[in-house]
Amino acid sequence: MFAFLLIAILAAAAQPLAAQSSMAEELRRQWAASRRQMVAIAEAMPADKYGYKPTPEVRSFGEILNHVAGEGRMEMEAVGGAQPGAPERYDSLRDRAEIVRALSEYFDYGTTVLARMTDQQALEMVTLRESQTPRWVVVVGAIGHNKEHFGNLVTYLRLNGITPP
Amino acid sequence: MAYRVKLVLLFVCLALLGGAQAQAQSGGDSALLGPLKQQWESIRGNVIRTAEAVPEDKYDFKPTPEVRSFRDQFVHIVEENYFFMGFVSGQRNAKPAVTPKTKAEIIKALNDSYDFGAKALAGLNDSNAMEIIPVMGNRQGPRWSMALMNIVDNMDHYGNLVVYMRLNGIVPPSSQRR
Repeated sequence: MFAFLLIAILAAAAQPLAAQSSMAEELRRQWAASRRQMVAIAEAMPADKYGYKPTPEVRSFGEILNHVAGEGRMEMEAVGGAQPGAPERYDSLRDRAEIVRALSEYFDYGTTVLARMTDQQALEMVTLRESQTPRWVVVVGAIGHNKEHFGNLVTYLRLNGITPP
Repeated sequence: MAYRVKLVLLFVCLALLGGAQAQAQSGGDSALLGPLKQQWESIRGNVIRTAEAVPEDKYDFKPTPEVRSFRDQFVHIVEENYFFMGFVSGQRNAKPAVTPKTKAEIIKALNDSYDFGAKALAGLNDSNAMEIIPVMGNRQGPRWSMALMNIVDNMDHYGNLVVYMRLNGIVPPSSQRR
């Protein structure tokens, strides 16, 4: 009887935690979607258009991808507990094949970091740009940053008469 | 002896259970909801300042014929905010009374839609945010995820608008502080 009561209470106590496994899972789902989208748009632009920019003061198509991969990689390193590298690390890349490879590596790295993340870890703080931020917020920041630049790239493609994927 | 161990365990469990519920009820400032609200206000600021920065006679500008104009983008964002946040609050049919047309009407409609979202987020606590509900695309997902998708989708449109602004010689609000 007592054991039964104990199990019932344990189950009740565990329930909010079980429900929260939706957290890391949602991050993994959105990360995978972001990856598909970014790689697809990178591949949709011909190699000779990677230097295209709509106005002189902004980043070219290729430079945006380098920026996305570099910033995002640094953020995911902070999330994963590694020493965050320089966000400019890919900035010198110009060749489409190399840029797509860097982009893929960035997403692979993020996938590995997220694969082992629990909900509890998602809510824990990490240090990024000298401030304390919950892991999930850094991940969502990277996904949002990807998406904002995806929005740029869509319009770059349109301006080149290419229908986005 | 065994009984005493069980008794201690029982109290530990009760304390854990109480703690989990207290956390669930504390709402607003948790590591989940605090940043979610912050991100909502952040993208709101960028979109509203974009709508304000673009002169009204440019509202019909579109970079290529087949895409949305500034005006279409803003109206779409209004619709999107009601759509996604409707999942969060459960008010699935909320929308503006009339389709906004002028710049002033559009800014008002945008603000109303972000207020609707802020209200939906204010109604969340850590427990109902994690609740699994039917979400977009015939899936089941956590309630908070629809707010996240709304924010991320806003970022996509904002990314379009940034290029629209540059093509019109306007410095985007998100670049002005840098």
